[in-house]
Amino acid sequence: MLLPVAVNLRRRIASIPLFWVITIPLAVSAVGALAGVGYLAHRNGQVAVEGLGKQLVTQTNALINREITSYLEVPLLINQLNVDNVQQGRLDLQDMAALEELLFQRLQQFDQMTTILFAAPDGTFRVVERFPTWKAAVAEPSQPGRLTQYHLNPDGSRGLQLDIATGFDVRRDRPWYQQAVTHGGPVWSPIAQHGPSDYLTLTASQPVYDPTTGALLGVFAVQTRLGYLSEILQQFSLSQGSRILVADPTGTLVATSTGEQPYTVIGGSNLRKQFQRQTLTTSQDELVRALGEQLHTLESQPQNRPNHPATRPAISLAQPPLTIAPVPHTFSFRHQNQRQFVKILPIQDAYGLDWRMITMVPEAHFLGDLERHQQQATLLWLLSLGGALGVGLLAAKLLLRRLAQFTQASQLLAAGDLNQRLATDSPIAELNGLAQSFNQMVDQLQAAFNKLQTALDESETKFSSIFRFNPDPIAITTFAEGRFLDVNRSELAFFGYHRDEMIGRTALELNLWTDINQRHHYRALLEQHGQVRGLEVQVTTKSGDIRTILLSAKRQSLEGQDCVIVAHQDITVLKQAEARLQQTQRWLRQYSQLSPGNIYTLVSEPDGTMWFEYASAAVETIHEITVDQALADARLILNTFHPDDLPGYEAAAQECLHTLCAFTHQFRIITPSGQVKWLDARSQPEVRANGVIAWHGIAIDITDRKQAAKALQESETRFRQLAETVQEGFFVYEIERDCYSYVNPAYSAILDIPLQELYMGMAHWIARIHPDDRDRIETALAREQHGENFSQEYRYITPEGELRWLRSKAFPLCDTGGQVIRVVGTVENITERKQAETALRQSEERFRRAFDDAPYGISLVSADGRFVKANAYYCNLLGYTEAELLNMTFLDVTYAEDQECDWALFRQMMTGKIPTCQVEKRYITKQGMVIPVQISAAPVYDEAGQPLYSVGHVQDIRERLAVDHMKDEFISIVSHELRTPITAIQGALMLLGARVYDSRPQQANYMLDIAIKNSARLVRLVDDILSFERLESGKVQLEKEACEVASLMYQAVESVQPIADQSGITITLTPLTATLWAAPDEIIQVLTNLLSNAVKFSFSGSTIWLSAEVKGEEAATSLPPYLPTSRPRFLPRTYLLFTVTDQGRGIPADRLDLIFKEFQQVDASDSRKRGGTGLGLAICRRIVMRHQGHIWVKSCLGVGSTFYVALPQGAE
Amino acid sequence: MAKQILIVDDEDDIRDIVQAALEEIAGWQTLTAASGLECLQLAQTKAVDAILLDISMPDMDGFEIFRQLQAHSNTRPIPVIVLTSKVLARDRAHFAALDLAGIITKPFNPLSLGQEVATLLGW
Repeated sequence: MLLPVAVNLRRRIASIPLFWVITIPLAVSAVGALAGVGYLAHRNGQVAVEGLGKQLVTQTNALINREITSYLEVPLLINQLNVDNVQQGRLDLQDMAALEELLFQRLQQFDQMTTILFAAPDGTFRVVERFPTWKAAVAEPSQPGRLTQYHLNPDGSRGLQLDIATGFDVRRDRPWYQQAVTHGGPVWSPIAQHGPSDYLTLTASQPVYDPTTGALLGVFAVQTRLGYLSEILQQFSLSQGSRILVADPTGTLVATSTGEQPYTVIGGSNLRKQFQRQTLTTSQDELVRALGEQLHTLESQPQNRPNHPATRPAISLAQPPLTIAPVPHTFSFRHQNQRQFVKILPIQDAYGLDWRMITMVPEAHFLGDLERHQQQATLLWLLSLGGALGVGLLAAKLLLRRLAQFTQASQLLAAGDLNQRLATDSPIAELNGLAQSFNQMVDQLQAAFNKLQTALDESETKFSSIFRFNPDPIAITTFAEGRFLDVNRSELAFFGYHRDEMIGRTALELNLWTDINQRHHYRALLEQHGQVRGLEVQVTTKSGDIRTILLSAKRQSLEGQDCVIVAHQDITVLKQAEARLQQTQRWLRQYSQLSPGNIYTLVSEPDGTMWFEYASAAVETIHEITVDQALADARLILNTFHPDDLPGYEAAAQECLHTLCAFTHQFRIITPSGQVKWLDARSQPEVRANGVIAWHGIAIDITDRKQAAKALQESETRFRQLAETVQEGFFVYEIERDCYSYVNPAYSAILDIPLQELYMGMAHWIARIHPDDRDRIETALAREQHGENFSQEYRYITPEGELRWLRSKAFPLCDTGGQVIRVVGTVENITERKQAETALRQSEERFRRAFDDAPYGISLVSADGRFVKANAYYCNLLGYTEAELLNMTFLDVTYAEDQECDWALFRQMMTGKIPTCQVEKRYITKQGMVIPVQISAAPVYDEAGQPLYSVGHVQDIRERLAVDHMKDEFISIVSHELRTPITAIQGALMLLGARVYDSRPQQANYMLDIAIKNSARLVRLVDDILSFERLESGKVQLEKEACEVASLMYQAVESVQPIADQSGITITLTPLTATLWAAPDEIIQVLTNLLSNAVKFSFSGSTIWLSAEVKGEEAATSLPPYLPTSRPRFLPRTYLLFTVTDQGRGIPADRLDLIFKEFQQVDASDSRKRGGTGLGLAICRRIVMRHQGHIWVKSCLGVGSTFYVALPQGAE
Repeated sequence: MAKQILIVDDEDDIRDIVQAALEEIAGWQTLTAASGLECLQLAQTKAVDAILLDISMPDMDGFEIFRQLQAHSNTRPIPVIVLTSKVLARDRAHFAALDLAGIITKPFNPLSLGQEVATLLGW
């Protein structure tokens, strides 16, 4: 029951137009939302504002309330104070003056109060008031109805009498008195007229009782002007439209903030004026009236109004009486389109005060613009609503249009039109998405159709091509008869028929079957199993060839017909290959049987076992077991491995097992007969299934080879040892490859080139050959290319820069064609030998030079005295050439008298009797000159110890003899010279000693003088001789230093000065500031000698000049004239020239040179007289010569002499 | 009559010594000559009993003087004694060739000079 309903419902629901579905909810929700929102906003706004307003008002009210209450407390306080005063005895009510003063004081104290009063039951009445001026009113008990008013002075004393009012009895006429009395305590009296004034006052009164008797003594009262309350309220005015009122519960105004008086005077006079109190409803203020009406409406309750004449309410407007509830409450009402917000607060106290404070604030006060805003909001709300609806409608329309399109397209699609596409230009994304999806779907559909179509076509084509182009012949035949329905190209090609020849015919008709029985078999299988697989049959082609084929056929229903699809493979070739293979295998087997190497297949199983699948006949030769034995048990071979080689073999085998690379190994086996054989085994792995590896290899007996190799190795080792130990370098050089094929270490060492570099070619070697020798070597190399042997000595510079002499010998080896293919050679380091040769040559050279250049004669004479060799000196000495001498004996040149002696000595020496001989003899030169010589000779022996010849050193002793002679002469002269003064001294002294002259003092003195003089002379002589001898011998080294020339000159002059002065001779010194490198003492000696000579040979009164000059490089000719014999042979670069000039007697020209000889004086006796030793100048000359200088003299007889000493200035 | 000796020596001091020795000690008379020339002159002109001749003289050596003396007949017989300081054998060799009365070497003892001369001359 539910279902159909549901269905119906659904149907009904299903036909709701989309438009409504979209629009209505949209509208509804829009409206609802917006309305709700708007309403809420409005409400919230209102509430908020109200709340705010209320708060504000409340606070203000509170403030006002406080203010009023506090104000209203004051009168009560004053009364209480007064009462307390009385009750505590501070005030005596009988003392009117004090009372008045007190009242005055009190009013002064509390300036908010208008009046302060006291009335006694006996009619005493005192009033003090300040408004409008300070006044006092007095009534006496005697005349209680008579109220006299006085001015009050500032000090409180009565002033002018103002007025007298009668007919007033306070006890009666003023409610405050009565009420106080009635109440018995502080009480507020109704609002009443104040005295004669026009204003109403509020009075608080309190009775005072006698503390002891409790009798009423009087009533104190304080009055405050009602208008004051209004003033207070006005202070708190909130805003322009707001009102604050104080009214009694009936609505009669007490005070108002509007400024109007809440009462009017309607009659009466003086103290009995009649006032009409305003009520809310009778207020002049419209708003207040409205409020009053509102209040009436809200809170009117029938109640008794207090019936007081003074406070009779306004003429009733036939309204029900109002009682404003004494609780704080708020409400609002509308007045003239303005909401007024009203708060009512009770003002009460315990003393009868019961008022209501009404605060009315127009809502516009705070709502202000809220209304306007509310309107704006409403407008906005309407706009949005309209907008939302509009948009919704628009969207709906768009949507619907698209959906309609979609529906249409789908329908057409369903109908079969695949060309439907939806536009995707909608602004709505989902619609676009939908359209896109639709389009995609349609595309897919179309694609799928197309694919299917293509696939179908392809499939057809594929099948077609497969069928047609299959290399394997395929045919489709009928099952029943085997008639060909379709054949492919291969079939046609195979059988050789044309298409039309085959289609429609059977295989039988075409005689395809070679063997009918096979056909039967085939048919049987086909019928039985429906298919035939790989049936080997023979068929005959059109050309008559018989082919073997593998036939496969399947029964298949094709296009309703029962067909057979037949395919076959032509295995004729295969068959033939098989046959050939078998034959090859047979041949292979035969070969392996013949091979000397063991051809084998060793299979290794995963578990490690090994077995021979195949082993050739060689097994028997090598391993001494039969093939069968080997095949049966591989261990027969595998266990024969030599224990030393087993580890290596196993390692190699393992490696190959893992890496599956080719196995190649050499190892020894020990055959059963104990022979040790070397085998070379190589095999290739073949990985078979299940981890089985088959090693196909060959093992060859290489024992012989090994032995040969060993022999070769030994031979090589010997060669190598030889090549490497020999000192000579050995090389083999390949001409074609232009590099060394072998160099031994010695070669590398000799050339000092590392082996690697050598192997790179000859260039290294050639580059290092000394440049001077290189050409020669290269020439020799060129000749070597032509087959000539190479033998050269040359210089070679090692990489380190060491020079070596090498001798290389090389022998080119030619091939049969005569071309040099190889050069073998040696290289020797002959540096030492060369050095030795050089040394020898140098030694010979030195010897020869020594021989030739000797400063003495050297002659070699044979044992028979014949000259073998003579040096230049010897030849020159004797005046013969060497050639002439070689034909002579030494006796031929010996002085006749010396020959015999000479020969005897010679023979003695040559026969070995004397080792050497020294002899002085005389030679006769070719010219006949006799030369005294000294000869030292020694024999030279040959290896046999026989004297070969004699070597003689020949010294020309002429000079020596002359020197000796001179020396003898010198000695004789010296001895003579010494003896002379000695003789004089000895003689004189001896004569003196003989006392001969005892009495002749003069003579005696004369003799003494002689002795003294000659002693001095002897001393000088000895000095000179000694210094001369020293200089002559050359033993003393003159210590040269830098001397100040001037100083030397000074010193020389100084030493000579005494004798110069003695002789009356002036010495003029021209000093020179210069330095001289010389022995200072010796130079001084020279100068001194020259000066003293000058002094000796000068006349008294004459002058001697000593000067010096530094002379530079001057031509020899510019020097002062000198004698040829004393021409200086060389000139020092810069030399110092001393000159000593005298005016003595001069020296004869022939003596100018002689005087420098020892003991050669111009006039010996004269000189001796003057103290000369005869050695002075000789000494000077020696000294000057030792300084490499020159000394000479220029003289003119009778004029004077000038001695020159030239000395090189600096050290040479 | 006192002997007159001719002393020939170029050295003044020697001459003086010899003179003193001969005169003071020997008591003879002497003549002195400082040179060969003087000697010849004096020998020829004066009565000289003997000549004491110094060999080493600068202008004319003793040998020459002796030859000169020998050359002249009147001077030939005068005995000549050579006074010399040359004592070496080879020097003596020269004297040996001459017909000298004697050789006296210097230095000599002046005190005994006279005696020596006398002995040499046989006086």
